[in-house]
Amino acid sequence: MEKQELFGENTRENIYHCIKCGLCIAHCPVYKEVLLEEATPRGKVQLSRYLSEGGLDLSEEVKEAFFSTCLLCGSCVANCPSGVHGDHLFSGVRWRAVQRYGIDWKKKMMFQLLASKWKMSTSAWFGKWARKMFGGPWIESKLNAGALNVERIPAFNEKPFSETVPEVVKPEGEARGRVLYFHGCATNYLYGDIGRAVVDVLKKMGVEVIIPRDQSCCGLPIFMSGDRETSLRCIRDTLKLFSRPDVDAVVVDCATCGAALKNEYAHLLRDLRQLGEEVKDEEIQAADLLSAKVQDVTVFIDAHKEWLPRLEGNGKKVRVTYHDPCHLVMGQKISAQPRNVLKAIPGVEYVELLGANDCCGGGGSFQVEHAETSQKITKRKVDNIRETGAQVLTTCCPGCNLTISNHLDPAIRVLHPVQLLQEALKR
Amino acid sequence: MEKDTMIGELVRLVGRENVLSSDMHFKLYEYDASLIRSKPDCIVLPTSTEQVSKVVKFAHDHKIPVIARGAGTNLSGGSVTVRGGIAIVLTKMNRILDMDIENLRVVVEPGVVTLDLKNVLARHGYLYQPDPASEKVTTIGGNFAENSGGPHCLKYGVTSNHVLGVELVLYDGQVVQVGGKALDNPGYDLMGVLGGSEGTLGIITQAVLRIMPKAEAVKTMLCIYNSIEEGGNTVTAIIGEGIIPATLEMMDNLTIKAVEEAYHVGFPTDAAAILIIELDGLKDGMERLTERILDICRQNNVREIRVAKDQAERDKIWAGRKGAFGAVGRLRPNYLVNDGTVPRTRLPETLAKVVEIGKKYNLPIANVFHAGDGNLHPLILFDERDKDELARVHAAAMEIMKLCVDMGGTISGEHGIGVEKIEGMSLIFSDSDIAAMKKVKAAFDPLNLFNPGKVLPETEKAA
Ligand SMILES: Cc1cc2nc3c(=O)[nH]c(=O)nc-3n(C[C@H](O)[C@H](O)[C@H](O)COP(=O)(O)OP(=O)(O)OC[C@H]3O[C@@H](n4cnc5c(N)ncnc54)[C@H](O)[C@@H]3O)c2cc1C
Ligand code: SF4
Ligand code: SF4
Repeated sequence: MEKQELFGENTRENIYHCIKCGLCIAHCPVYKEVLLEEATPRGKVQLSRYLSEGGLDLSEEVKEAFFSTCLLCGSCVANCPSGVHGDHLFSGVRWRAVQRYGIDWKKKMMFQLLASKWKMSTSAWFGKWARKMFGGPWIESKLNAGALNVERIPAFNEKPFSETVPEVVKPEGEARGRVLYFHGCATNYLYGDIGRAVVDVLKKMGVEVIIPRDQSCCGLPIFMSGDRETSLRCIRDTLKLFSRPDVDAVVVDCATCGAALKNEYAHLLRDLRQLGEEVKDEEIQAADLLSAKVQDVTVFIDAHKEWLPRLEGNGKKVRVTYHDPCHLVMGQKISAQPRNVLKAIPGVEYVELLGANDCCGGGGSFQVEHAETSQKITKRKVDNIRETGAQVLTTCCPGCNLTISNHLDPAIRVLHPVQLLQEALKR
Repeated sequence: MEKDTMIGELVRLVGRENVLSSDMHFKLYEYDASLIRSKPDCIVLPTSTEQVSKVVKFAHDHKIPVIARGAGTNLSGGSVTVRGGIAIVLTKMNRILDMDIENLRVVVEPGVVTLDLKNVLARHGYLYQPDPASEKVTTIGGNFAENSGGPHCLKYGVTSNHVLGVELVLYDGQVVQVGGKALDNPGYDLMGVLGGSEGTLGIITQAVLRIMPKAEAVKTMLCIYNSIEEGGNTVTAIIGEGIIPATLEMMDNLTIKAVEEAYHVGFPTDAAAILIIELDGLKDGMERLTERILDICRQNNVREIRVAKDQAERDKIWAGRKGAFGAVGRLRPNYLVNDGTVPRTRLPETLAKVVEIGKKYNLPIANVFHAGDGNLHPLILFDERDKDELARVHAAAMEIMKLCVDMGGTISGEHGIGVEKIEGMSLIFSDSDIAAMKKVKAAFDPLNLFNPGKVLPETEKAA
């Protein structure tokens, strides 16, 4: 077999800029639990180097190191003084591993979408969608959701969110702006309430919201699982619908989707081109345009807070804290804006969370396949949340929401900051 | 002994889950933060002193080298298995065993991460002083074995000043106590021999540490200069006045630029040098002392002084300093750091010569140093894929070591000798000096199985 290049040129250069200082190790949530070098970002960068230079075979064991001891949370990237993009290397290795071992991402997606038989069967549309998506006998006899308690996974939306809203939502009152809304899969299938809150709040701010009906997955979970071909399709679909100069912003309500649209598309297209894939200049330009327009919805709201109608308190105080999703705080360097939004809500008594920017341990399918490690990481998070005495935990990522709410006392509500804002606007 | 038999035996001693022996694992434990690489024959991760003792005894009985390893962040090849053997990784032994706060002592296992310990102590209002820039990952065992220093060591001393006792596994597996909770212990001061011995005399399985109450007040200042000389003169003048601040750290322009790119901490990228001065102690008198220091800075033409207003600003400055080594990795893929020490007064002169050496070998050199201690850290930047450049790097490194010795200093202030600086040993020690050290080594390790090939060079007399 002809030797395949593992990485595109730009990506490959990362392996030579790792000086093995080990400073990233302090920030890796998986290492803290596992204490082995393969769990360290440094170790995986070194393995990437050997793989790339041909000194190491991509064995099952090596494959496992890249899948089972990494959440692709990006903490190591944000904290590498030398600027090494470990995430690009690791997802590159996953991709080749999938090509060799044929990991079935569809099955992973299934796990990830947390199939609990009875819950799915109550949602007829989901069954249809899933059959189309995954083909064949997609309900395995012994589905289990790893670290997640199946009973506590939220029910699927009665209808996908996108079918419950018009494609163009006109602003209330004076028209001040216009945005495209990229709602991820999670909002579409699980957390319709978040989507409705986003639309409601933006509408009341005088913003026209366009919600392209045929939008697909951002591609990142698929990409993280190693299936680049499929994720490339998602990227191309998304670029067609969302790379538009005539809007003020493309808002997202999911940290992971945001990180994908903002950082990964352009990088990935360039990388694939270097590896021989046919990628047109226009596509890269489109990715750059999209990247410049993408904003987490809390960033957009915070930047235009004067557009918000006057907020009224209702005399009640509510204690609220906030968890930083990795893909927002590390991936997009956003931490102040969601907090600003929360603090602006009358009646919110904001308390800071110890280790607010530590990973929640979810990592998409990681929690399903590597339950033990994942649970240990989540436990730290949950303990810290309890410590704050908050009644509401907020976070800007449905993935974190799913993981945390699954382990947290049911009395503590888990919401997107925009949902609290919506509640205040209704008063 | 056959490798498979060895691995089988080790599994029997410490359990399957604590032994690693695949090709992937050999690759993962063949490096530290230096350029040296060499594979171990097996890796064990013991969870108790008893397991360490069993492994060491087994290795001794079969004449297999044993190499202790903490986080693998040392810069001199110290934890690389240059002659193969068993790597004993101590990261799983990470418990704090005794918090004797009233008596200002804690007892820890060697795999405790330095900063983790500090965070626990901080909750009680206490502090463990040594602060290597790598503290967020390093282990206490590694710190003691390298006798690590850091910015605050100017005032408080290096690691060995804060480790008062250890539990040590000897070559034959015996477990002994050295030192203890008291400041001075009767009998021979073996702690002095063990500190900085780089794992060549035995394996530490517990350490008794000295802790201190947190200072009442801290003041951190960033002083910006248009020339390195003026920064250096400030340092000399401050200490000349009899003031010992908690830190006197300096960085040159190349380092400042790299740090700024990595951390955006607000260092001025056009400055020739910055000096980080920190004071700690009682609130009373702190303002007056600050004024005196600022006066000295002004007398030495400081361009600008920024005093950190709060903890957040302080943290920013230190994040920049602590990430300096890593940040230069942005400029070129690799660096080699010398940590030679010269008398403080000769710092500016030495630096000028370091610059010349850089020019001579056509290599960029970034400088960041514990100015107060006269401890240099010239970071020679290069790309290890370029073999010609690599050869020049080693020649330049040797020349810098010589320079430090010529200036009346020494070849290593804190990073240890390992393999990387082993040739430099003969610049400061005669053959008989080295032979004397070899006698100590032989007493602790008659078969030369603890981290062989490190620290002491082969000399004719010593053989
Ligand atoms: C970015 C960066 C910044 C740094 N900054 C500093 C600094 O400011 N000051 C400084 O002094 N150093 C610094 N260093 C060097 C390094 O971090 C220190 O030498 C550190 O103490 C090594 O600790 P470790 O746990 O990584 O040990 P390792 O590197 O794993 O081991 C170091 C040595 O200790 C021995 N050893 C480890 N554990 C034991 C044990 N239990 N018993 C016996 N021997 C043992 C090993 O055999 C080896 O010889 C820096 C390194 C990097 C990469
Ligand atoms: S990835 Fe970055 S932080 Fe981690 S060891 Fe390499 S250079 Fe250091
Ligand atoms: S991406 Fe996250 S989990 Fe993976 S190595 Fe980096 S810090 Fe660790």
